Amino acid sequence: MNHRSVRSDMGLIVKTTARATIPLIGIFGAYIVSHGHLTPGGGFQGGATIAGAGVLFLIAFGLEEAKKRYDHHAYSALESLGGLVFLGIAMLGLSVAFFYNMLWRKGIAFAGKPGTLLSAGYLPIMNLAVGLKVFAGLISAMMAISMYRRWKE
Amino acid sequence: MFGYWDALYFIYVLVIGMLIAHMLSRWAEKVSMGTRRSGDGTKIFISGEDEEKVIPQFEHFRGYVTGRHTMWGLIRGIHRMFLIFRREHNGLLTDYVAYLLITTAVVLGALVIWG
Amino acid sequence: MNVLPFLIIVPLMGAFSMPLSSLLGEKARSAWAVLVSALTLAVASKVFYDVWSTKQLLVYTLGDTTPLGKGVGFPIRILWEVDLFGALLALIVAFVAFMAIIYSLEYMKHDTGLEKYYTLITVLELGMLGIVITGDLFNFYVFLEIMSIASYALVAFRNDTWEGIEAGIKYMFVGSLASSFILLGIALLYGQYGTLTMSYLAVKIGQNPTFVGKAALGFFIGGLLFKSGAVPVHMWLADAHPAAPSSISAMLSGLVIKVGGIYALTRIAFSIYGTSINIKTVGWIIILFGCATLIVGNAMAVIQTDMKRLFAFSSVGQIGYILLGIGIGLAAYGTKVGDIALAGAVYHIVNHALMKALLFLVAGAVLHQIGTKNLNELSGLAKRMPFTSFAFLIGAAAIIGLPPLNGFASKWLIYESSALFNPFLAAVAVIGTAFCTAAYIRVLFTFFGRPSEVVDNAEEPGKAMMLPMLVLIVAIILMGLFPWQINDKIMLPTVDMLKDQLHYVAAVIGGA
Repeated sequence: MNHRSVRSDMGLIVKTTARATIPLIGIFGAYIVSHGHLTPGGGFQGGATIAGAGVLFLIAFGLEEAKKRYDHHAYSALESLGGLVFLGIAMLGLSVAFFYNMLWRKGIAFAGKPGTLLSAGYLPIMNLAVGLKVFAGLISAMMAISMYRRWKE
Repeated sequence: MFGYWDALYFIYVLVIGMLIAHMLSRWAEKVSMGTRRSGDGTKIFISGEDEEKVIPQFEHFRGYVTGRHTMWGLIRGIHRMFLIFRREHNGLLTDYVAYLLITTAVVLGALVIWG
Repeated sequence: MNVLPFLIIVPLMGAFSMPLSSLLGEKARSAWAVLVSALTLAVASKVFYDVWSTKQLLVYTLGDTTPLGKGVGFPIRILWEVDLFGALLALIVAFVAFMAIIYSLEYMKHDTGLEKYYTLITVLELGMLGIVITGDLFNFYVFLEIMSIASYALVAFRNDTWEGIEAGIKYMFVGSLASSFILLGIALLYGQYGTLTMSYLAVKIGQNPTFVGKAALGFFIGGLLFKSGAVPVHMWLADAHPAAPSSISAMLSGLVIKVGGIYALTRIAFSIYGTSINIKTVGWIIILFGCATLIVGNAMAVIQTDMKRLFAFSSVGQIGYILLGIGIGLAAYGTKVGDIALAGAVYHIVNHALMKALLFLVAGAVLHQIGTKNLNELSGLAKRMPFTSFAFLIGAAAIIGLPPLNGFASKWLIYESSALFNPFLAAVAVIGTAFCTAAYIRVLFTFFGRPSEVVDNAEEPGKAMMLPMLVLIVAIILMGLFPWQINDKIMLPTVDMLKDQLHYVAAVIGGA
């Protein structure tokens, strides 16, 4: 075991680049989530992109640094929240049918002009919920994989 | 609907069972290792009877009619079957996959031909 | 008000909120898990009662009021369609899952990561409930994967031993392959007929049964035989079911192999394909696999020394009976014999779910109190754990098929119909039962034999583990007291609805 194997973070160049790109990746992911009903992509893809920022942080700054900023309970709660919001919105249409409000209809709330951001009724909110769940879940999975690995360096 | 005592199928099963038993005894005659092991001057009867004893008026009967060949043949056969089961069940992942593929292929073939 | 969507909403909400409830503490989480599964049981009972009392199919469209598209005469939406078979299985699933969750309150107390455990067990229940109520092939696949992935994770839940991890990995790899066969079948059907709704697919296949449709059925049967643990592909079962925690084994053996395998096979064979293809061939394929399963499963059970492995092989054997019944039901489609066989198969699904759940709970109690499941060390358990031994006695007697218990009636129906259909099959079934009897009598002798030093300090488990066993014993005895009444009132109507493909189709297309 040499000295390097103890340190899990990377060099200065990588860290600086990561500092610059992590916010951008996060913003791009948020864009994909929020425009899920207009452009290709959606909750899952956007959430995975945001989680990519987290993975970059984990690789560039190392496990020790990531552990300080990762609260297992908070992420677990966030993930549950995403699922519950999705389910709750699906249940809002229950007076007619389960998932009734998922598709655009006349007279739905937030039914703006088609093609604009606020135009698809409840669908963007569902995308946000899915994005939240995927992001929290992927981050938790990555942290679990890096923390509980059993093999030696 | 059928009642508790409608046991017609036992007759079928009996007929089938007798056929199977006959085939078994024919087969066991060949497989059997006999009922008796004799060493230096000893004579031990495992199934409790003397193979060489001749019953008066029934001299034409050979030993196996008493069923002991069937018994030993069955015991050895079942034992061997279990040994094969045990050996084959080695639990390799590739085996599982192979069995799944073979099963699907057999089903597919049967459906394509007769479906 | 239609309660059907709550069959999915309640466990889904329970699963999502389980991590939140565990933030409030261990007691809150346990109470929440029990509450959710009890609510699910209530909903399932309501659904079953609705379907049973009206004898009508329950059709529910997701996202709209009618399954049909605007201005077209065919269904375009995802829909749920529940007949009596599905409702019956939903009831059994909810019941056994409720028992398993109560049981795990005590059984799993010493493990860590319990919020994941309860989340997964609720998701497993959710997946099975989804499979039995769905009327859409892709929806079926999604629920099948939910169920399968939850069970892969639960098999490997005790990851401190190599046994669980190895079994989980094997199960996952081969199970995914089987799932992908099923997906391939669905894709072939979708490519050929352009629809995923089961009832409309039935119409399309009836009009034009093509080669592709037959190939798709082949993939379905291959994949689903794997999921149900039929013989050439039963090895994963013998690894996975003993390795899982016992409460999970009870659900895997009692429910998952039936809902994910047998139910889906029956639904696809009867409701989608029906008589559009050569139903006799399909029946005989299933019969042959059933016979092999029957003999090998029960024979392998005889030689096991590990109690849970013995029970797992016995599950394989019992699946053989169910497959035999369903195969005869297909091959003798439309005759009295076929009806009897099918009724026996459906009845045996219900019975075996109860019996095998009880047996695995007994195994769990022994494992929990003594720490070993090796039969060679467990001699003389009956003196120290009389209740557990009694529970085992009831379960074993029921699974062998002794008359006053519930297993007798269903096995009798299967023997009877197989004797009328083809005497050779009856002989095979009886031989299978002989092996099964031998296996269980071995365990019985172990339990009631001379006490060994391992069991000297054994005690009965606590109340939370005894209660589910007691409830299951009572259910087994009660069902055993009224076998023909249950058969006439529940199983035969189930068979009638299952065979009635025309009605299954009309409920969606004509009913709008």
